[in-house]
Amino acid sequence: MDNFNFDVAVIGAGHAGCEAALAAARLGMKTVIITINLDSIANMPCNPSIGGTAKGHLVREIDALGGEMAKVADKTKLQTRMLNLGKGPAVHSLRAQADRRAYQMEMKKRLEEQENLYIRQAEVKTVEKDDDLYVLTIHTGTKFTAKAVIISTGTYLEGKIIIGECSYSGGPDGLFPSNGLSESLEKLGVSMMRFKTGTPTRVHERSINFETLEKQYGDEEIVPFSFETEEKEENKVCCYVTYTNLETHKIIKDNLHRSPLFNGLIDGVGPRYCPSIEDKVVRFADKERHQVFIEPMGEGTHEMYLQGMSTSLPEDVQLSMLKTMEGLENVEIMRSAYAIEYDCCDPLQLNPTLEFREIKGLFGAGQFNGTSGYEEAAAQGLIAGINASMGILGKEMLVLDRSEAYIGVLIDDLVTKGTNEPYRMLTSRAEYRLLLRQDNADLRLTEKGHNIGLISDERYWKYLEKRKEIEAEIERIKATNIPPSKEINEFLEKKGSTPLSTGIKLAELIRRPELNYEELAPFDKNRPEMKKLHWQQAEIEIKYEGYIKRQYEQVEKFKKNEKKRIPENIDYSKVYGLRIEARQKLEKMRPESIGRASRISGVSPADIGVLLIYLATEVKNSES
Amino acid sequence: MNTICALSTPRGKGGIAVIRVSGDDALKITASVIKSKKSIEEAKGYTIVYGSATDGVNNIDECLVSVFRAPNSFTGENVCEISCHGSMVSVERIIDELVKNGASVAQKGEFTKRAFLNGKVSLTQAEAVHDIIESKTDKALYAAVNRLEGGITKPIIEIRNTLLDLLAAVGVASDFPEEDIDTFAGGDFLLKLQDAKKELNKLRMSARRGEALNQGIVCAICGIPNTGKSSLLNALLERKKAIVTDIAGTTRDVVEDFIDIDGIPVKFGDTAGIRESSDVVENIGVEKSFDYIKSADICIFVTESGRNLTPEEEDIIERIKEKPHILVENKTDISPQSKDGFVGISAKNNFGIDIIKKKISEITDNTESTAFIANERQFEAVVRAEESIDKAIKTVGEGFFSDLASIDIESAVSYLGEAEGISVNQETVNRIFEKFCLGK
Repeated sequence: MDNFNFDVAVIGAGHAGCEAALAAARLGMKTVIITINLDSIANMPCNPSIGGTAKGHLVREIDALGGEMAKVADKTKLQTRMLNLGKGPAVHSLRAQADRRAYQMEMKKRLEEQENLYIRQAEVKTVEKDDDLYVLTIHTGTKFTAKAVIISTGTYLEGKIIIGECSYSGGPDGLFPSNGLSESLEKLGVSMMRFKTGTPTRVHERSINFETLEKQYGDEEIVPFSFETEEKEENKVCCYVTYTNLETHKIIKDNLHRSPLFNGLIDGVGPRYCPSIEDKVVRFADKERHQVFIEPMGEGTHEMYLQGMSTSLPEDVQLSMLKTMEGLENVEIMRSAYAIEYDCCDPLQLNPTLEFREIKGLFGAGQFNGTSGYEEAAAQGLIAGINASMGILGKEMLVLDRSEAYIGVLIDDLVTKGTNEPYRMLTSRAEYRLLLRQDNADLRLTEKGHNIGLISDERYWKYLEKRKEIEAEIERIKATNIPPSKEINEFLEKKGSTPLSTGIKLAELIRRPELNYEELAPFDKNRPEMKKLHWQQAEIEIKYEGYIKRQYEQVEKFKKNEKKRIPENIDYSKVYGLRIEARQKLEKMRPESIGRASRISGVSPADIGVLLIYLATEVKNSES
Repeated sequence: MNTICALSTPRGKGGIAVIRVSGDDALKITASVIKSKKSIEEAKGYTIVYGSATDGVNNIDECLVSVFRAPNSFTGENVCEISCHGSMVSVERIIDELVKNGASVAQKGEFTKRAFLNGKVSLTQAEAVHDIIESKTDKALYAAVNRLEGGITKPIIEIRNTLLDLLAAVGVASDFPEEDIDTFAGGDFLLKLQDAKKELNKLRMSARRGEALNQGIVCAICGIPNTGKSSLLNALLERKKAIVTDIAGTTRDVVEDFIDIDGIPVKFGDTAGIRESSDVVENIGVEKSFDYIKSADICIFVTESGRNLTPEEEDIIERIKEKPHILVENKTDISPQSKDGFVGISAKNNFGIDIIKKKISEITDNTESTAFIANERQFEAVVRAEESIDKAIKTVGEGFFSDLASIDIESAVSYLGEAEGISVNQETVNRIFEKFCLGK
């Protein structure tokens, strides 16, 4: 068996690449994953955390489909918190501070132990097509072939580091950039964009005065990311909060002319949700302070991360602005904050399968597709890995729609709307968010993961049992009658809830906002023993039944348009009455359904009307 | 597209009539029917050609032909608008000739449909055009034109904006829980929701006025027999529509007709006088009167001067007092007006009729909003949006989380219209970043 000819080649071993390679290898593909530096596998060059709002949802979905991120995060976490617990279940989001090195090593080991997977340290210089095969040439001149190629190059492509007036060619986190591959991809027909992102200063723990700083502990009860993680662990570390102040802002304003963002040195587009501190100070001039989180990078290091202080100002300005902040008066910088500019593809060229529409067998994933974030990357990597394999196996590719998963929303947004800044997942982007909760990701997706072949039979049976148990409990709650009694009325009054005068269904009590399943236990005599994760599902389904029902109705409407297929061979020049812009966009994107066509920017409802009329008359014509 | 033609001005005798011809061969076909010195086929767009319509042997009419060239026309196709004299006979003959020369007669709404298919008008505009065609008086036409130019959307956009702000506030609280941002600064969430509901409600109420503009307001004239209701009707209409006699109970059916009061079509219905009677026919008439009063928008109650109200009359006033109504004391030419809150008139002498018209105008004008929801689709959108906001208010009021309410607010926003090519969620996200300072 040679080590040069593969089914699937994955370029880049960040969070997207790792998931892609593992999925492909697990689906029986002989797979190679190539990275510039093996010690940077699954690196977190920015904040050392996994999950967070909407991102936590993605991690759980990855897990339900048979991906790896959740398990590695569970194994290497330092602290976890469930965010938004004071809000509705749709926006509860799990976030974990991870030990950055431990995470990397754990993921690297899992790649190494994976059958069918080959790991190579090399810089891919060119990707060329030779009939049905792709030929990859690395920096030494050695060639690999693959039937399908997944590009997950993160911020490496033509990477450029900018720190104030200083700029040089470089990759993230002190690594080498990948130069030349961009050009080779353009020759293949990929059109590229240039994005920018940034990362804050890392400082030495011993130089921080924590005494007066606000502390942020993890949750008492640890909830794991993976539905398979059983062991209970404790939170190991604490994070801290400090603030910028008017003095900090003055230093920033006085030095704006030295910021590459303002003096024109950077022309890449940066993300709005992750603005640099200078950006925040300029745009929101009346805000007197901005929050900064101080987070550990790992257990085996004293490096600390300053979340909120992303900047590309010169080093001397970085130091003097940090020193104005409480706790950081004597701060010692270990790594300077920097901005990085990089090449990525325009995701409008992709199908919802993440395969390039015009370049069969070539897939994109992660930051290369214009996103930002480890979780967004991993989600795409998993889908690209699955679909590259499905393509080779001649099976149907996996496309999740907007009503099935955040992953579906993410990819649909990317390939339908495109993006003009690094795209971050947000709960606000998911219109069916009450159905797409992080707590039910396994109920939504395990079946699909099993069908694809990434979820074991054993796990699938467990899922079926869980489902049955939840359904039975919902039935029981709806049928259980709670008679009025002195005890319950005392309890209800204490809770500010209307007392009972006649019997009431337990479901009705659970629906009251001021009551919950757990507290009603003493009045629910026949309650069965059950895992918390299971009864929680029953509780949510009952408590929010009306809302969930409304969302299902919306989904039904949505699905109607998704089901209206547009023939693959449609000739848009024959669709009389389309506006020119719409015609061009439709011609370019060739959406599969009326639903997706309607989401393309530049296609108006009138154009969709025209298209529907055209399709209707076509059907009529072909019938007669 | 094939060429279609139709009369584009209302049917019936008028000063002039306009026949519109639209399609690939519009100029050629028109040229073969209208003989002119200047060539129609070679005429530039936006020019007018003088000529005579002919059937090949005889001249039918003198015409002016306005020429529009694709895509710069209403339909986006080549268009000729033939202005001829308003006799239906010549209009029919010109259309006959156009058809003989290759045009087909347009289906109802086909011009607008082509305009829509060619991207010349949006769906809302297409509906507005339909309303222009159907509108009965000047004011209704004005409302339709207003909407065609986007006037209708303004109050809707304002409500929509308020709701999007609320969504952004919920979004930023949900997606950036660790940022120290007071997302509800400048107003209580529930209060803003209630305001939005009030605005929607106002808009829905104004829909009634929009409806009135299109369909007319129904005004019932009622009272006991022989108080001069029919005389009042005739005086309002300025013509003899109802039979007037001295014999009480002459009117046994509802007599109706339209007049235009300040641009609003008002349909007056003269009802049979209401009294206890042994006459079966008259009793049926009385029943009809009550039904009519019930369905009317406005009631005019008519009594006579020189005597007190009878119990029967007081009973009638009781029935109409919930509705907008006008109390009228007729026959002031015989004895002077004496009752409080009554308008004294003499239908016979045409005295006081203007006051009644003015009062009707005041009633129909009595809506605050100037933007009318003028069709079913918009009406439904507003009703649905209001329902969704209701649900959101209920959610927040019950003490549930505002992010739960956001699902219904999102629905409301999309009922009020989706911006072209951008989803409500995208709009929310954009707004989050415009308004709040976020980020790591």
